Amino acid sequence: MAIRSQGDIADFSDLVAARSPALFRTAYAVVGDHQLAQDLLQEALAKAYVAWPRLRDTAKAEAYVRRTIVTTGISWWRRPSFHERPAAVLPEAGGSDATEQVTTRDAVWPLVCNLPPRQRTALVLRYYEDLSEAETADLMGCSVGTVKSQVSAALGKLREGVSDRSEVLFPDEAVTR
Amino acid sequence: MSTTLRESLARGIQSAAVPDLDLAALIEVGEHRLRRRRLVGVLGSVAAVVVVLALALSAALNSPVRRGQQPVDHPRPTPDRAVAQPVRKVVYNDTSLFRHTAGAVHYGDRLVATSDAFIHLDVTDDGFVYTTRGGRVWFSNGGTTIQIGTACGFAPNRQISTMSSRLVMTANAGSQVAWFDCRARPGARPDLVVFDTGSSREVARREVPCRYFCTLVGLTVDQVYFDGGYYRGHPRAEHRLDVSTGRLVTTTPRLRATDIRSHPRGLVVGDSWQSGTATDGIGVDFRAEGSRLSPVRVAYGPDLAGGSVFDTGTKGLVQLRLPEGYRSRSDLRFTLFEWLDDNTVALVGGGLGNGLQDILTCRLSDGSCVVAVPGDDMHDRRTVPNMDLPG
Repeated sequence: MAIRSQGDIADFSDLVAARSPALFRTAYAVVGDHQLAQDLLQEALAKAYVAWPRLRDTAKAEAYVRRTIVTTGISWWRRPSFHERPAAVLPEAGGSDATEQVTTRDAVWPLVCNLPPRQRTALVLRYYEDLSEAETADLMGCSVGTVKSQVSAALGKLREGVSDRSEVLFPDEAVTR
Repeated sequence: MSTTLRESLARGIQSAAVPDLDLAALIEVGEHRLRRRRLVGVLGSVAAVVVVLALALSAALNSPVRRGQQPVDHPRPTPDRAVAQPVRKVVYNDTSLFRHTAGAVHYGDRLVATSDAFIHLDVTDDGFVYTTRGGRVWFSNGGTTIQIGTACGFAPNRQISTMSSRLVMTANAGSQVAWFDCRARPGARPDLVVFDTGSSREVARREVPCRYFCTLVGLTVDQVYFDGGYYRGHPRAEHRLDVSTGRLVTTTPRLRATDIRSHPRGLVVGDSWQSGTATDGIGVDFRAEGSRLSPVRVAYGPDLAGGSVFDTGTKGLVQLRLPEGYRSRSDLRFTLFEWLDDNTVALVGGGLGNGLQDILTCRLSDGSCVVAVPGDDMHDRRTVPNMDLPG
């Protein structure tokens, strides 16, 4: 017999049905891996189920899940085992050509995936989720100053990764170019 | 044409296909955590009460009035875990698979002849299941043997062969056996079939997204798990067929592990119950260290030297010991291949010849093992259920 009431289960099911695509995209942005994103979303939703009576309404529940995705995703990254995953296909031999730079707009995402998790998370929350610096800091559990420095470092690395011929407009260029 | 960073991010993020979430499994996980939290609270309260009572009792016993009395000889409590009679019989074969001839399967104290050389051997509560070349799946209750279906392999020709593994599978408990069937729609996706050997009927059949390759990765009560095969990288996407409802959903190894933890006839291998790897126990290797059998490896998993084993039925630590007087040696290994009941497992010794093919049956509750079937003077590999057979 379920511990949660049928009403709670119905509300939780509604949240999952309505918001899981958007929440999955947040999870994917945080971990950069499809399967891990699925695990991360399920973990966050399971925590929300346990905490459901405290969440009261759907908007609050969604915010709770989103926060859990961000904090849990970052904590997963800290585990040593996270960085060692056997691959079915070995990568191409040899390093990449240092002179080869990204020139197409579609190649930005792989660069984002290579950012450290806190930088990637801050960048995605600011420029994909359109959250303010204060909202981003609240979600990540850090100060506004930390968000600024993480975003600045992330943008710096992205600029280094793309060539002058890049078609991507970065935030401070979008207004002037 | 230029694009903003936001558009680039959106393109990357939205390129990921949104998966179908297994809502029922999610709720099950949540309920499991709630029950665990409640249990921890109750146990904490009980522990507090016990501590208070123990302190009070200790104070009373040490009081001046009691000191002159003789100590009371309390009888030692006896274990209260009832040891049920094994439901399943030990199943094995001593005919070399390399000879590709008809053989015979030992089913408890019976010897059942097989019509052809089998390439897969498994067991249910009602008897044993084997698969012969051509994919014919057979069931025997020790007396009568009948064909219960035809299984298929995958690339390149969909023929099941001695190189095939994990294409026919049973659960550690119950009567269900699952396999892939390609005959219903030749050239199309195969069906996943679940057959009940107790009622002798098919209980589920469902087309599955396995155009190129799939393997069965686990069966629990009414749940069949399969994935895209061992060579598709890690972590692998998994699917689950709920036999009772016929629903097919996408799931993950993590949720399967939760499912395994919620039933008896599973083992958690690692440093603790919380952090260990949940497994159905099949294929867990134990190495002899003196008289102890220590877990060293989980099937399809990493080495686990130094880890412990916990029983999912009781959450208790399992400490298996070799039979009394058993000749131990440093390279002696045993592999768990069958659950006889919730408290009893069967293990087979590894290696060829030299008497290392002994089958032990061990009780998880007290760790005691006995030699159920000696393997003295064997030169062929003993074949047991649930193992990948040699090609």
